[in-house]
Amino acid sequence: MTESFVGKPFVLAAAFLAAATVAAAQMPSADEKALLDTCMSAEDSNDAFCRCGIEHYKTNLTELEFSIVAELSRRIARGQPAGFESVAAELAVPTADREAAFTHIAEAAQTAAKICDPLIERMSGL
Amino acid sequence: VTRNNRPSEVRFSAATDIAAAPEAVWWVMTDVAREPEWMAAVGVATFAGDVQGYEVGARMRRQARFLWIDMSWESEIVRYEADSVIVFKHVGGALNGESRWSVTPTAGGCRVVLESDGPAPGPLAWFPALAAAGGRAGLKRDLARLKRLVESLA
Repeated sequence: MTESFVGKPFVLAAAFLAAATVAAAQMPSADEKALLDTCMSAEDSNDAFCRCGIEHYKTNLTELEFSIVAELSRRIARGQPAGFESVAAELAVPTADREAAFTHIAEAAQTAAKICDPLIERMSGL
Repeated sequence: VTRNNRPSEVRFSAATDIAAAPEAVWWVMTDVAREPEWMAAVGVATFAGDVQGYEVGARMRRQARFLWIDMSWESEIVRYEADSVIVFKHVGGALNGESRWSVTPTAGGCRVVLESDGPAPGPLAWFPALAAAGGRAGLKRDLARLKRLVESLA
């Protein structure tokens, strides 16, 4: 009896904590939000298409590579020059790591196009 | 291939049926001053160089805004068949690759197809799916404007 009386709040607290952790994990980061905003601001874009691309980049890129993609998208949306080198330098990507990051992002961009492009075609009837 | 502009091939097309003779559609499509009226991304289209008309070897310059990006490019006409087909090879500036306009007769008028393929322009090389989707949507709207324009002139 004592055990369950003591255990109950603990279980509730643990459940609450778990729920909060899940909620935090689902909250889009500033980088995800930037990508989503940029994608959605394009005419005829749609939520499923944009989330497909973001999910693909998020799953296949490192956190730093994902930040590079997000910064590229911010610059594109602002009409600023969006070169890989300047973004990599701003995010302090070590020079020795840039080639690998560049190749990895380029590959992810190609596969995202293959996976997500048919989605917008189906959804918008284009 | 440079790190600042890695080519990422995109291909897109759009088609529409217009209730007008191919010649009538062709007349509007090849009126260079009129191009911005139906091709919304294009702000200015001009012939550049000695050849000032649609024929093989003519060079054209266009200024446009695609998605969020202001761009200009030069194209050479590499195939021209009156009332039927034009192939532009993009030879300088923001675009590379090719664009094709084709018109084929149908029972009720004609079918117009606009196609484009080549590397996604500038920084959109990093977002080729978005570039293709934007391009396709743009062509579809251009064709709707062309259809209205031609049918209003009939």
